[in-house]
Amino acid sequence: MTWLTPLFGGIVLAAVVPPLLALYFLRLRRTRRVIPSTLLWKRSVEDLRANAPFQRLRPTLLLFLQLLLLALLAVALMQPRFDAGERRDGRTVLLIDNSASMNVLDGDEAGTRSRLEFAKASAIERIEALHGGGIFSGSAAEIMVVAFNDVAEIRTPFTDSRQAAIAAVQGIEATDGRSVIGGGLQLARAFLTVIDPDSQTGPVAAPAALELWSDGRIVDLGDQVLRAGETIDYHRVGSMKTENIGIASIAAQRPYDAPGQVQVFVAIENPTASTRSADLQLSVNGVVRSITARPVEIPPFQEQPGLGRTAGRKQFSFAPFDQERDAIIEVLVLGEDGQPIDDVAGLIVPPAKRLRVAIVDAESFVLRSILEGMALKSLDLLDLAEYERLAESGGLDDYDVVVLDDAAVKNMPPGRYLSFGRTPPVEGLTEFGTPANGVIVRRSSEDHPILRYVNLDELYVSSMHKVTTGPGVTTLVESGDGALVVALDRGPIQLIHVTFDPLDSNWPYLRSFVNFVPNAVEYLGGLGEALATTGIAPGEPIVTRLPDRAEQIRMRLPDGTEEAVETGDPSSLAWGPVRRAGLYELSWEEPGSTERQRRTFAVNQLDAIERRIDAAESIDFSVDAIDGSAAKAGGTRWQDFWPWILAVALALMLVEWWIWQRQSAAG
Amino acid sequence: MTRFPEGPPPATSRPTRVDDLIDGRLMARLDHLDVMSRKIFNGRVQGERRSKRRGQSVEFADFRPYVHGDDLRFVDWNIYGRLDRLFLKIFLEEEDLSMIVVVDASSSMHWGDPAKFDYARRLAMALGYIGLVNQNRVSLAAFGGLDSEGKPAELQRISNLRGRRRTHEMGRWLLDIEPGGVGGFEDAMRRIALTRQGRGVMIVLSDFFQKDGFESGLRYVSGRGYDVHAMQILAPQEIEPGRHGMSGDLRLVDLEDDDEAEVTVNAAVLRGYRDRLDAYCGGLRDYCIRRSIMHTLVDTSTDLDALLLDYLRKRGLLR
Repeated sequence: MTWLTPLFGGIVLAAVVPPLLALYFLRLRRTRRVIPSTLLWKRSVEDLRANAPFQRLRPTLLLFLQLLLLALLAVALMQPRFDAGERRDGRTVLLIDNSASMNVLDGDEAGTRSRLEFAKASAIERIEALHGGGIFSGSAAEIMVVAFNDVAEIRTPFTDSRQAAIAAVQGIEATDGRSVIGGGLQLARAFLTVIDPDSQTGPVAAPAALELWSDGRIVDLGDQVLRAGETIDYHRVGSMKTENIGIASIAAQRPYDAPGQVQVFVAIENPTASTRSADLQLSVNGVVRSITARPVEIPPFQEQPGLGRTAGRKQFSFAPFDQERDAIIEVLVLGEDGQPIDDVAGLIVPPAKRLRVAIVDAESFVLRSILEGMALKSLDLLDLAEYERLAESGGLDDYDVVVLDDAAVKNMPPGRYLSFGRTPPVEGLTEFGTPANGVIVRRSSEDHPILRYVNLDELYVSSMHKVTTGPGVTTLVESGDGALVVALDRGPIQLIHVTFDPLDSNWPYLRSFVNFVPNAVEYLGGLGEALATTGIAPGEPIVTRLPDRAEQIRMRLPDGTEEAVETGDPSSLAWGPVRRAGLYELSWEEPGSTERQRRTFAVNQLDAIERRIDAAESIDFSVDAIDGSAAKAGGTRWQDFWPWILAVALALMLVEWWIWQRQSAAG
Repeated sequence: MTRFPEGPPPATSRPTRVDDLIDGRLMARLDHLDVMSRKIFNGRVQGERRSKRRGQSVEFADFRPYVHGDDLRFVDWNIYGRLDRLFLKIFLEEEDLSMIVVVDASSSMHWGDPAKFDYARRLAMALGYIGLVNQNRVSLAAFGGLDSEGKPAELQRISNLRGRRRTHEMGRWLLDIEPGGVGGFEDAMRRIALTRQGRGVMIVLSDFFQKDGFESGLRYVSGRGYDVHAMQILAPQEIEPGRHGMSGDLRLVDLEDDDEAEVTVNAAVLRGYRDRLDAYCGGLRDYCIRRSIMHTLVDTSTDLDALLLDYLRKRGLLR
């Protein structure tokens, strides 16, 4: 039993009871009774007064009831409650992890609640404990609630309202994102920073107590440092023994020699200490296509010097199958484990498509011969004049990809371009200075689809155009003198630009060039999307291009619900970030078309950190190791007594009223 | 158990006819009773009881020497013949009994259930009837009542009634008494003592709740040879107020002088009241004993027949 505001109740009691007693005797409504003589009565009362100096305080039933009523009200004002726990004044930030791993159903021992639900219940109890000021006394505690996954969200800024804080916690929804705590800490610290215009020392960060509800599997813990005055309590949620395996990556490819077929590759990871085995199931458009003949064995994790713990990994490729049309590929790891969300991964394979490519001002036979070697629908050779004419007339729309071979073009209408050498006239790329000589690759973005199987270690460029890049331009390959390969994505214009003429380098003699050109053409032509991508990760937006005339755009979510998509420019549509993994279907209408057009996107949770779901016993905040304590919830809820006491007081008041009425009627 | 009275009884409940005071059945039962006196008094006329005075009855009492002036008819001539001296034969004379019943008609008596005053009137009627039937000289007096104009009346009295035929007259007189005045017990006793000729039995019917004390009033009559009976009449609601619903926060108003007492009635107060009542009644009784006054406490809930035929016979007032 804890009294939240004992002083308040005591003061009220001390202030009210004496006046009541005074009023009781001053304004006592006595019933008039005529008797033969007051002689004996006066003597009796005088005797009592003589014997008992406090005879007037001798309780009558009504006075007793009134005093009891006052006492009950005072007790209610004192706000008794069960075990109010540890109160703490000052500012407290509640950080609640709502990443994918928090959806595991091991929040409680019964396995009926997810970690997130358990964490929310525990956090609410903590709020009630921290914020135990009740309704009559302002608590000095201020609470801020932050939910974090890939992105951090302030559920409520610092508030001294217990209800607001509880509502903020209750409103936290599950996601399939990753655990990234850095954004949450930044937000919290932003609210903690006090800017005093009169202070000469600049903004001052007030210390705060951080309380974290998580399973401890947080991506960026090592990047975070507790500031001076900050403390953090780690409330561990979930079991430290829950095991899980999951899909680490998925890819599909149409073989060069058989574009009507699709081959699916998948990698399974096992972050546990024992070898695990599982059957894999491949579904195409919802129909099971194949199941592994025997379970795939995934080795346990390994501790590698310098690298630390590396999950066991097993790659598996399904046999190619015929699929001319586009398809939704899904791979499922059969069998139950702790985290079902990473046991399924989807992939959208576009229809087998042959590209129409135009090469402009083709001086290099190397480039032309590579393009001729690709399985294209057509390859047209255009000179500059013809290109300019088509650019003005819109004739370039007939080509999926236009390759500029060091061509000095003047116009670049919307389209997809692969250019070499001269800097194309497009916003975001500005050539400066004199060409650089003797350039070698310093760094390349190997995870980009066009750089698959592209090893640039031996590349030597004798002369390159130096360019500066603007917004929307990504440098894929970089040298000491600037970008060598850039990707520009500006709405209707998509461009891969190589800042040097291949003939000014040794690239035509390298195998990487033979891989780069088809990768780039297929990527620009839309073929490469499914070949290497593993879909969209939760937390990322869905970005796509729709026809300019698209209208009535709607997005169907994995749970079957639909949302209208509002965009001013369908040709550059971004929706999201997505919260849950699964298949998202974008549909739209075009004037003149009776059917709704549809496009499907697969959102997969393939993050290695989220795959490891055994709760961490402690978390390492850079140099600070924080030991966790198991989060508590569902125990004794801090139950306020005062509503019950008020109810009893009300009942007592009714009884008193009834007695008073009866006595009045009798008098 | 009766309810605690909220004031004087309504006029409708008061006796209006003589039959309301005494009915034929009670008369028949009282016919064989007589008032006893612990003393033998001189009467004015020859009565039906022995007197200390030697008189003319047939019952011989004594001899005494003849003195000049004695009636020669009572000289015992036989003795004169033998002793040659004149002696007179003395006979016990039978006298009538003087009986006065004093009724307290003050406001304090006009209360209770049954009302004390009505009970006192009925008791006075019954005692008076016994006196009339036995050829005693019956007088009645009332003090503390109101006159016909509603003002406090002087001592009201009706004197020297004798014989059964005066019963109705006595009853009407009792019925005409209007209660409601202020005490005046001492003054009434003083006036009765001064104006009363002769000696006899005096029965005082009152609650004896006199704020100025009952002692001086009784003192007037106790020293003058009266065989005084003080019958203290109390209502059951006075004796046990707690049992008759007296409770709560009360403003008690005195019927006689409108004096007020604020009382929160609870067990302690009731206990204190009872102690005071016992002490008061005990004080009255002790005083009466010291003054050779017979004190009798009468509860108005007591049946009048039982009181007359049983209790008062045991107490020696009636036989």
